[in-house]
Amino acid sequence: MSVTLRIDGTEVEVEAGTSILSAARAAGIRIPTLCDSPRLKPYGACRLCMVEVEGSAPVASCHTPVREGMEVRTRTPFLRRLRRNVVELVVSDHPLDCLGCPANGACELQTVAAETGFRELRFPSPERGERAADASHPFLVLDMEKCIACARCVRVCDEVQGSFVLAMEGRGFGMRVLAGDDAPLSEAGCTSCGACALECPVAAIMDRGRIEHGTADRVVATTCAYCAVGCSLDVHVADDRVAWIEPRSNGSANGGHACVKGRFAHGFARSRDRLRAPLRKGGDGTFHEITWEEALDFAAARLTEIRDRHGPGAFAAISSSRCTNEENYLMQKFTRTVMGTNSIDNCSRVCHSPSAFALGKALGTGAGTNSFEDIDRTDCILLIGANPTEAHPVFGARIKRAVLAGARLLVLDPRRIELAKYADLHLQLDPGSNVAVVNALQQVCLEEGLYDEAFVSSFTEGFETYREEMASFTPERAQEISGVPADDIRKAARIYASAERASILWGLGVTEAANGSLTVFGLINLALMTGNFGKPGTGANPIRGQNNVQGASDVGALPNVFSDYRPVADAAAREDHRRIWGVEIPEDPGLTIPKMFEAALEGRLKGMWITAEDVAQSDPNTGHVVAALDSLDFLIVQEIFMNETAKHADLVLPGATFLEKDGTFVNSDRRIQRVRRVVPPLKGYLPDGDIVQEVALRMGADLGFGTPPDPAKVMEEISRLSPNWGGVSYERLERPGAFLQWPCRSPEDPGTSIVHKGGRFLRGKGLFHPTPWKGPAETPDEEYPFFLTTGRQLFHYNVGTMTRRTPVVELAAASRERLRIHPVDAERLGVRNGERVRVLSRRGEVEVEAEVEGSVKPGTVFMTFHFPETRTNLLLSSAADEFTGCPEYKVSAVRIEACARKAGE
Amino acid sequence: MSGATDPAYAWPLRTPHPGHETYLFDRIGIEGMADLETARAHGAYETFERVLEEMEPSEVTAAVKDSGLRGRGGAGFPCGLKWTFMPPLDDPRPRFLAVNADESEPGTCKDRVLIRRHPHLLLEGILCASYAMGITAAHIFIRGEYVEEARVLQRAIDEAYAAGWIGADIRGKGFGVDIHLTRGAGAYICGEETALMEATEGKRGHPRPKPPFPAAVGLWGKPTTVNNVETLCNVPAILAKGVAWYRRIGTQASPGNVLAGISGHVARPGVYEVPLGITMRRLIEDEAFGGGVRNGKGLKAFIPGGSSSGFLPPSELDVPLTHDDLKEKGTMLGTASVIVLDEDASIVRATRIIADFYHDESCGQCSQCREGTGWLARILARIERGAGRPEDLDILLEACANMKGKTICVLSDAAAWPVELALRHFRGEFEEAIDRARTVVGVAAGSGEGSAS
Repeated sequence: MSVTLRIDGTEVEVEAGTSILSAARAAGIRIPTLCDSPRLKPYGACRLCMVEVEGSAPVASCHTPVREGMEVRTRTPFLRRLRRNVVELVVSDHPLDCLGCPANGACELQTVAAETGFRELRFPSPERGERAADASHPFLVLDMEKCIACARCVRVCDEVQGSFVLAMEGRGFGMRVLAGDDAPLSEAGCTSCGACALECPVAAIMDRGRIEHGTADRVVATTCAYCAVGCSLDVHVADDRVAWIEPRSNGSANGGHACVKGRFAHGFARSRDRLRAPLRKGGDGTFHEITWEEALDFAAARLTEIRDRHGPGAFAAISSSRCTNEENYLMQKFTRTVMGTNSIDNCSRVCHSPSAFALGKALGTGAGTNSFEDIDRTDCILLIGANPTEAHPVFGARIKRAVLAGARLLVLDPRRIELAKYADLHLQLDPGSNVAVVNALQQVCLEEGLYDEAFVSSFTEGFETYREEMASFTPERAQEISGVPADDIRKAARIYASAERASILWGLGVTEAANGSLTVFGLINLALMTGNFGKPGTGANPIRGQNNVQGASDVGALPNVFSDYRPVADAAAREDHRRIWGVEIPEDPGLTIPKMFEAALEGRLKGMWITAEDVAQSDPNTGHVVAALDSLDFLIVQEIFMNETAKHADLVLPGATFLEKDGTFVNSDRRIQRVRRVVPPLKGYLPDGDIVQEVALRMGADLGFGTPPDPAKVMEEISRLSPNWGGVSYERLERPGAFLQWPCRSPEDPGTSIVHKGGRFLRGKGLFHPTPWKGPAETPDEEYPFFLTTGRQLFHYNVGTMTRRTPVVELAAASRERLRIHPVDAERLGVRNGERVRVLSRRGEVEVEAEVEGSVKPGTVFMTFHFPETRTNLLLSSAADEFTGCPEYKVSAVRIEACARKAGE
Repeated sequence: MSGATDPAYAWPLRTPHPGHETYLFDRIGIEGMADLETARAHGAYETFERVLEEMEPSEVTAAVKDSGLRGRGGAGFPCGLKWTFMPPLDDPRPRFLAVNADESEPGTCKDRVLIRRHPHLLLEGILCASYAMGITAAHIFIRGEYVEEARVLQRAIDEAYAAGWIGADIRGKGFGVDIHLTRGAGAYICGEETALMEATEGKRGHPRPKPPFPAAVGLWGKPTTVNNVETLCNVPAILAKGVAWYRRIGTQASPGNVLAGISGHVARPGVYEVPLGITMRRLIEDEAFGGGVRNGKGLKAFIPGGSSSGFLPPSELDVPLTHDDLKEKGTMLGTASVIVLDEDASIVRATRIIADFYHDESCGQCSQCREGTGWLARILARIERGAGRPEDLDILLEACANMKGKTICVLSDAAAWPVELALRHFRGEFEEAIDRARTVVGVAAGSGEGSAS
């Protein structure tokens, strides 16, 4: 229902319930405010936004809803006096050191002071200078002398980030913002998202980057290169360097929010140890710098030799989910056309290949079905094997907001993760037992008739067979396997099935397991039988790990498919590619990453090109990986830092970071967004795509997009060869903050927020897959009595290559690896909190500090894989998903031994 | 309970007032009224039981509406009318009654007596109101400093639960309600109805912008009615003795008895149950009540209804104690808590003390209140100290004008009124203080604090 009113004589039509302030904004009329922020609930405190309404006393426009026929005036002499008085009041409690203030020029108090004609302060100010600024945090400075008590920082911390770290304390002149239990910010449990500083209208909470730089020279809109949420960022550049980063207010994936990594952890790009020149390994095993000419010639010569002497099958490439779509496309085109093999893979192999596989089989496309926005519209979230508040913080905050607004939450995780505290039910299952619990959830729905018969009969197939096979999997059986009480499984199934709109989200805790694909099938079955597809607030969605892991696969950096998942085995697809590429493509699928290592060890694979992927640290059973790398004749590693993998290379080529190149990323919900060159590449390194083209040229081939390759032209070719990307072009992505969600099939297609709309699955009908129970490869035994499961923590990203080269490490929580162990186990082993322990598996052993705490259950320990000095992945099993080869990172059996204490300890 | 020997209650609590019935304090003198057994022996819950058996919820609301009962928390809003703002009884959402026991207005301690001496009367009032409005749960928010009262009240609640007067399906009549007690932590602002709800929810006591009003979005976002302790204690009597009986007490527009507190420089300070409409003169001077200014001194000023109602001069002593008569005098009945100042008192000092209180208690949300209360306090302090400037009185009045009607709640207004009234009726005293400063110091600008501009 809409309401028409007049504001300053202009007729405005808005939705009923809109505030006068929002209505005025919509009409382009500015009303001065200090405490209002469009993304926060009205607060009504500064009283600057008061307006005159005919027939009533003046009202605060921010929290007064519009009424039909209302006559509003926003500019009158009375209001000017009133607002000037408010400014005078606020200024009486604020220092007047504007010239030296870091907010100078961007201060909202200055703006309203100018706007209202504030000239004179007639009132006594309180004593100042009693409160020292809190400079404990590596990225934020709190100077409460400057606070004007608008509480925007507190409100954004509560309403947007859901962290509840800040609070207003004291009254009157003594009012200030308090962090935690009156702790320094760095110790207050702050997630360092920086939203508070972004909201602060003055300089009471501020980014160090802003304090250090003043105004930026320019602002470049780009997309974050950490996780797959795909936050739009505004990079503020001063002196051709990144000065500070803010989330873009119109960013579609993040809505003006960011996390500690995207917002603050950018210093790695200027780290001193960044690779600046190509390195060639000499006969003595040490690296020496060579020129780019030498390096490119050398690479081309060795690759030619391998191809010509051993055949195309002797080469394989690992492309990077950290690089752009265009670079991945170039790499797979190079591998297929120049090297003549389909052996290209990317790290989605080791993370979400089971998701892509199962979603593709059951529904017709290997990507998530719905969008981030759908979380705002769902009634129930089933979250399994994911820890979004740490690994995908901006999305995690969104889930929290949805739950605080009333959505129900079911968490299935071996650990009591932060969201488990917000959940209706936390099913704390043993690592590796996902299939059992998910099967039982399905069984309960089938048994109790909690499924949507109409949906099942109209839009799905294979139900009857499936149903018969699942019938015996009772919650009691699942309890035996997983340790989750059968009653909790029943309750969870009922909550999920009875929700009007229910959404399933999963992460690597599901897929990085020997039964990864089976669990994904099970989750899809659950959504299929309850009709939770094709409408807002529903769906089955993997939360992808890396910034462009979706895109790397989408554009064909996979051994069995071209871009848009067109199988290389499909003659028509091969023919389309032959027509445009001008060469025949082999119809046999190439090697997956684990197969590549096997082939190398067996001597079949001679040469590899690995781009921005630290397999020697991030892949499981790293001893095996390193042996494989060392058995190669020739290994190129393209990297920004000398890492574990690069150490084994024959040639190391310095690549560029996302801040130094143009391209696109695809985030977790199929959102294609632009990455822009923010700063020029420093002398010494080339963007990764340029390197591929240069090598190709030297091998007598041209990838066809110019030298250096023009990313817009690369996108044109992707679009031509990929039906679901048919409408994607740089032109449409040019506006800052623009995005397209594939499928986007024509230039007129606005893109697809929700796939499989109205039960019309891309596959035709949704297909049920029975999921027989299959356990993990390893379970605890006498010798190795603990489950070890692994994951991420908030402040670091993957193997820490980037984050560890930023001041993030100054935060205590981010400084070192810790083995989380339950107090009961610690007591039994005689391990005290903070003591060092040895963790041993059948593959290796590491030493690490123990943190005794209750988020893990007895019998399970947890570690991250962020710290090269603690090579967690040495311990992991090399078991893998039977369908996709995705390794079982999440389940290993280990033994814990206390390290000997010194006498007297 | 041995209230009679409790020094805090050495004040006379009940004074026979010839020709008038008492129904709030009529049983508080009885030893042990806080115990359920004694209270039951003296009729506790009998009215509620009869209501459950004989009346429809709508009839209860109608009776309260017809009685003309006005809220006793300060604003004097018609109680029954407020109840009708709640959504219809078939609305499936939970709904709450928030009971305001955060009695913090300086000079006011009437609810304290009711809670301490006769908690079951409050609980019975809550039960009747809950029945009328279909309340799911009632949340009593009690002032943090009322430690003993909270203990007594919690015990009464526990006893009433145990005896089946509170909880599910009371007396097998199909109606149930829970009653919870939450203690404050020492902030005056939590007596403001929306701040009270925030505090009950466990948050910092910040008033909420209105609209939405509590009947639409109240405790935990659900429909809520907020009533004061004394208001609810009126309800059982209205239901027991009838609307006609009730309306015979007090005045046409302000029916019923009120608990008037008298403090300050009087001979007999205390809390008295009196009919609305009694004159200030009688309340202060009558031997049955205040007994006149103590030590035979003359009267300089009186505050009629709690600190925010400001000072009136002796010439206004004949004003009747009703909502409308006091409003006409530019003040209010408020909590009917009279504070008396004798001829030796300094209005400048008294005003500054009140200003200090509001400055200290401003929650800090709204600019005008957070900063404005500080300005009033600081300027008044410098006048009192002998550092006042001639322009200060005009600045005070302008500051007051800017603080009224422009903020989320009325604390800002409450801070401005006493200053305005003091300047209206006693401006000479302020001018004298400023003149004296100028004579002594000889310069206009005060020394020390206050040279910020």
